[in-house]
Amino acid sequence: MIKLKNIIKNYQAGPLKVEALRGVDLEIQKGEFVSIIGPSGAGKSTLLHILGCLDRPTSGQYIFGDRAVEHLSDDDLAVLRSRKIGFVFQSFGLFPHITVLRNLELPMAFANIGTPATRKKAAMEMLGEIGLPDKARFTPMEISGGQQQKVAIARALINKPDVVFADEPTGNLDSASSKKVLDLIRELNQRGVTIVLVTHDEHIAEQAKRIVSVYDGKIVDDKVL
Amino acid sequence: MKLRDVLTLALETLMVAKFRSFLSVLGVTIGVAAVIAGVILGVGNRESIMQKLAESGADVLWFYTKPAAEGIPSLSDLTYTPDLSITQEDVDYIKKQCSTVSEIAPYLFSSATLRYGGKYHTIKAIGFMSPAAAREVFRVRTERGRFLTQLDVKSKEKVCVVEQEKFAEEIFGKEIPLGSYVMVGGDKYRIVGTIRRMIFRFGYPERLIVLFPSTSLQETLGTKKYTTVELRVKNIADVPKAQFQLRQALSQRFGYPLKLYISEFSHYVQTALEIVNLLTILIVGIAIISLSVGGVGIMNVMMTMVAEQTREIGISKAIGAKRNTILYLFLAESIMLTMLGGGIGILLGLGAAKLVTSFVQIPFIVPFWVIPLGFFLSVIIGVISGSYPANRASKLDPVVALREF
Repeated sequence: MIKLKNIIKNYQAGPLKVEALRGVDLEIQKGEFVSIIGPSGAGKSTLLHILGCLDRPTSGQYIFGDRAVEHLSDDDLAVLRSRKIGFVFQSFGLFPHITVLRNLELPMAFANIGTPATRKKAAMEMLGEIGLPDKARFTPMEISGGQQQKVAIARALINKPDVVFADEPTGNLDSASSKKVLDLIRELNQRGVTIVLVTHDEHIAEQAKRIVSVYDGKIVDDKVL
Repeated sequence: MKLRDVLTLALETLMVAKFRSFLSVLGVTIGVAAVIAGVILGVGNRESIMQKLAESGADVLWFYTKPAAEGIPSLSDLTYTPDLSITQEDVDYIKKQCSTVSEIAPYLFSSATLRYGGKYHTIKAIGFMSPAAAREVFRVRTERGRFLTQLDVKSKEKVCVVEQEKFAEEIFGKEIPLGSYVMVGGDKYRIVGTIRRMIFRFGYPERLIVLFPSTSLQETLGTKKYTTVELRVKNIADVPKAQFQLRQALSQRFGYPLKLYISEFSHYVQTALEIVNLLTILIVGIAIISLSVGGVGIMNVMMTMVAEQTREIGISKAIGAKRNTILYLFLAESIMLTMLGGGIGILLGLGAAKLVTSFVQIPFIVPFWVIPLGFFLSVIIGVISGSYPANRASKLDPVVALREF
């Protein structure tokens, strides 16, 4: 489903030219649960941005499904993200000023899916699935970090994407909440959702079925557990 | 993202910082209020001046054949032997040529002798060719009895109408006896009505004014001519235009050998209009400056919002918002702010104008376009001051925006 071929990504950080990715080849099949692990600065965030179609490679080939991503316009990438890709961020990334329910509705509104009524229904169903139906009217600030991350995962799933990218999803959580969030992610994968999880923590990486190690802009190890 | 969804989300964002949003629109509020109030005061002021000018008879033009010395003619200029030949056909012609003129009243003005109760009195006799038009031009208000009619003119009725003034009292006593007869020249006239003091443009003569059908008076005085023609202009603002039309019509109808004089009141009207327009432009100009200041305020607040919401913009893009969606979201926020400000400004402007007009006693007239103008200005300010921040927000690189947190 995902195929990277000799991906190179350079960018300019002030006066410095950074070679973030130096020839990455990677294939991810539908239904996989892959961890990308590496120390900070290894290039895993850059890799995630490219995988998530937030950024384009400097050179190399990226096939997502049956489309060559490097040739898509910004708006095409936005459509691709809205329909095929879900994101989960370390600090949840929920909109603080609107309710949990509205947060879940937004990806559908951005993708022009459904009507306000059907979106609300879908969002409520999703809240039921993650066990937080009673938090619909709360704002993100009024629920715990673990609950926020569950809502963020629900938001990533609401448009039924092909793949969910999670960037240090437990980085801001205590161990009890972390466990719940990881359980949820594993459960999703068992239901067939492709998961790509980026972390620097080996214990978390081991939740996946496959671990890809990144170091200094290259994949140095790729093992199936 | 559909428009409805854009508006909903923009409104939700604005509601977060209600107080700041409110403060940020104050400039626009004051600007729009000033425009609204300025326009209404300008229009009211203009109307008030026009009313006053009209009441003083400045909406009347006249012409006659004898040259006046300079400026506004005096009474003595008008008491020449009548030598203006004018017919109903001439009147119809002038009326057709001068679209701005509503009434045309040719008349004969003359001194005459009146005998009543065995005594002789010198009076000022005015013979109207068309009493209905004269009524409008001289703003005649009947007190008792009736006014002259076209039938009186046609059948040369020996009837007259007396101005109810102190001279009338001296001659007739406390009450002017309707139906009784007076001798004018050699003819016997019946008094059929009295009128209140009418507007007479050349100063009030120290004599009793008596009104006659022109034909009857002409017969008595032994002439077939008139002294003067007065014309009332429909809209006082059109006096200069009417003057132009009249000059053309007269030269076409009578040719140049005939000397025609037209009143110079139109200069005053024009000057008054220019002053009013200048004042209005001044007020609206100041209003537009304050509107621009308000717009800068909105732009400032929008820039702050974009900076504060960098993270949300990044997330929005990550979860599928297109560049234009972000652009419209911020533009919608900006326009909502300025429309809120403008809406309050319209009410404030109406209120202020109402207060000022009642205070200085000018009419409170709200032109139908003034409220749409207020909203239009608000939207324009919203678009102008929102474009730059919204454009910046829409161009944020999601990767950079996401790094912010």
